[in-house]
Amino acid sequence: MNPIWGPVAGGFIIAMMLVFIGIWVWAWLPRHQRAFNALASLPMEDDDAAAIALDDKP
Amino acid sequence: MTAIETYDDRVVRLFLFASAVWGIIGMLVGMYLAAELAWPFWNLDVPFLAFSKLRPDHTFGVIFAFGGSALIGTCFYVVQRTGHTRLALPRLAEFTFWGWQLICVLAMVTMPLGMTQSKEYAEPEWFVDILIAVVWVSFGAVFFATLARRRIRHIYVANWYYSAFIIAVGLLHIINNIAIPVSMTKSYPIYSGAVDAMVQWWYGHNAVAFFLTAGFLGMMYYFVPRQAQQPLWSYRFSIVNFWALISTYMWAGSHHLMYTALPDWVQSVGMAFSLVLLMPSLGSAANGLFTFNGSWHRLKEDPAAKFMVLALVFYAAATFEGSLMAVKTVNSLSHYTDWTIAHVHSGSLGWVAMITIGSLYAMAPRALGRPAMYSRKGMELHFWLHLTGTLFYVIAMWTAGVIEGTMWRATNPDGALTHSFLDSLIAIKPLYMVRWFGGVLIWLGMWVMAWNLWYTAADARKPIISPIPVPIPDPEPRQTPAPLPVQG
Repeated sequence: MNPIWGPVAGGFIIAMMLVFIGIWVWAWLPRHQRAFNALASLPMEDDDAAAIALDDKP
Repeated sequence: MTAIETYDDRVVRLFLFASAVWGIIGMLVGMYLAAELAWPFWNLDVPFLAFSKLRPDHTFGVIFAFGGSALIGTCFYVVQRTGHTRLALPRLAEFTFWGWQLICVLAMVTMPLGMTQSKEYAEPEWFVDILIAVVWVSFGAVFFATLARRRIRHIYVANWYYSAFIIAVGLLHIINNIAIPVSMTKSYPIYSGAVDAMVQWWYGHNAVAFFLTAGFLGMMYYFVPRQAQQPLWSYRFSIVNFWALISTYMWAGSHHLMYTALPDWVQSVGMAFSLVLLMPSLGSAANGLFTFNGSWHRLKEDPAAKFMVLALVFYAAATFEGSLMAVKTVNSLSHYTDWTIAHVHSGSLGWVAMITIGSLYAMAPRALGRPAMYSRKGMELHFWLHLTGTLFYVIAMWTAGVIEGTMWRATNPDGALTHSFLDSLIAIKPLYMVRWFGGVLIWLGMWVMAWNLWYTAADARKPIISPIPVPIPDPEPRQTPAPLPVQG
């Protein structure tokens, strides 16, 4: 294998680690908090159907 | 009169019922195959009933027909609700439904007749594969066109998972099935030898990753908060888990080929990525379970919530087990034994089937214009049949796997094998019977679900249900971009 691949692979791993850390930072940015809180509750809008089967039939 | 936009749930309903029907068919085949393994006379000397001919019908039937129909149906339901918009391209959505059903029928008729590529989970021949590619692109077009006309700026996390599922499965399917047809019913893959094996298990493992995990996580991220009636525990954490999951899963496929002709370093890469994979897998399971915090009382009264919580527990357990089995030393004991079968079924019956059933019970009343499912007792019965059957199944196969693994590796002081293969088969035969019994319970549960859905759909069958209006906020002055026009 050409020895150039060692530094290339190492550089790629570091770049990917930085991207991953970047995703954490992006997700925790305070400016997203309001939107994310609203999104976390979005499925609850469809609440009628979350009612359990109350009219039980034999 | 002000125009009202409504959700388009017609195709959702069709997929819902297709899923129930395919669940019964796929699991019937599985139950029959389990009977053949316990009592071989059940192949009745009929060629297409032989285990090898029928087995692809079970896997295709439960994964692609049952699971696929549930995934596409819930995907169309969720993308509308999380985007506050009506389904785009309704005719193409209808084509997706009928196309997918045609594919399932064609595959399940041709495979037992011997028309097969002999690639696990990708058995159908070239003419079915081309159809799958066409229908899959149509499905993606409907989903992404709906996403494009959403009225909520941010794309809800469930749709990220559904997007990854659609894009990755399309990619995997096309690359793994590149073949040269030599007749109307036979083709040969362009890959050969160890490369063929690697491509096949890159596909096979990522079918688990993006079909059986990412797709069903999409389902989970919508239906769990809805059924728990609690906001998602951590929306931010779900984003981190998404990127971690999709970037690590792609590289773990070689753990299916430990101790084979594959280069050793490729096997080690698969093992390392499988261990890293533990974190996003457990992260999603924890996010789902913590969403029930403060809402655990719902488990007493709501069988759909019970299915979901148990699904998350099985997801955490099966992914932990999967990473463990990818470690070379553990793999040397577990591979080629029924431990693998136990692992696959704790994932498929415990995680995939339970999150699907829970989500179908959660979605069905809304899509069928009813306040609730027809029978709560029916749901409760289904839960206990499914859970008991799954436990019978996986405990029997775990035990059988460890028995096989230890018997196969036992050697005498002179180096000869202590046990013959037949000895190990005789030792596990009672466990094969227990597995069959577990399968029967699960299959009966699917009938209970079909019965319950049939009666829940009484109004939808007539049809006298009213479509559900899309919540559309009043436009703000000089809104940019301009609000979407309402679609009837």
